[in-house]
Amino acid sequence: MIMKKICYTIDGRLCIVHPVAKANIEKLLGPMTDDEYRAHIYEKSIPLNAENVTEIDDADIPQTRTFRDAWELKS
Amino acid sequence: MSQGFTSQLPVPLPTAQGGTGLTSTTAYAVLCGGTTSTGNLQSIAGVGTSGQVLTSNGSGALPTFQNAPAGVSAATQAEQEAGSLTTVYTSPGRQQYHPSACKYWMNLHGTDTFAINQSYNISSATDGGVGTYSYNITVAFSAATECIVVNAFSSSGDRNNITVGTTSWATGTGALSLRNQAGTLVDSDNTCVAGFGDQ
Repeated sequence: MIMKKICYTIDGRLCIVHPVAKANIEKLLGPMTDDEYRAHIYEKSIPLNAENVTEIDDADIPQTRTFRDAWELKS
Repeated sequence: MSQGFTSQLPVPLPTAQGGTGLTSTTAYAVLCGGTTSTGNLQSIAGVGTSGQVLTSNGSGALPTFQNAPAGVSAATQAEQEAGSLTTVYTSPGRQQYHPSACKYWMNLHGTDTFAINQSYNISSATDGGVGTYSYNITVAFSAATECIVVNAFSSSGDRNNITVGTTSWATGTGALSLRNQAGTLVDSDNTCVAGFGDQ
């Protein structure tokens, strides 16, 4: 299992978290449920002052990074 | 008048006539070669107990059943971190605790579709914009004094000769900044990062 990408904004900048597969983490931490996996990813990856935290599909991410710094999160 | 046969062979059959010279052997005992005084076969003393192993007592003595020697144990995390013992073995689940071992690594693709190509001990990587990447370590370091090794490669345009710097690091996270020769933030086809230290 691999969870969706997670978007958030911080200081006006859009960040996109790319989690690794659950199996990769289980190699080090042992078996975990899907909920524990999600909680681990959120705890590790989302800063406390992050805003607009949203999960998105891969298809929602532009295929070219030409204007990467201009990306915005649509509601 | 009845006819019959009577045996002329001695019992037990002597070794000189191809026999063992034995009338019986100990049940379940191991038979070994004999000596001049014991004939051509002899039983070892005792049958041992469950779990014992047959052990040589040298070329001039019968082997005996003895307790198996204790096996070599796996090194603990502390023993791995000390890195000095030579009487324990390194197991796959703890080898990474040795001071010389890499604690995490990642190969990150930063152009086109941002993605983690391969990684170890990484929970996630964050695309923070052009040339602005960070990553989160699954099993963190015990102190933020780790050694971080980074490298970036791109094959074209203004992304040649990228300089990678660590903009911040903590026990469980790290952040990278990638710039070209003009000092402009750029993405890299492959960004590699590895960390060494105490967990």
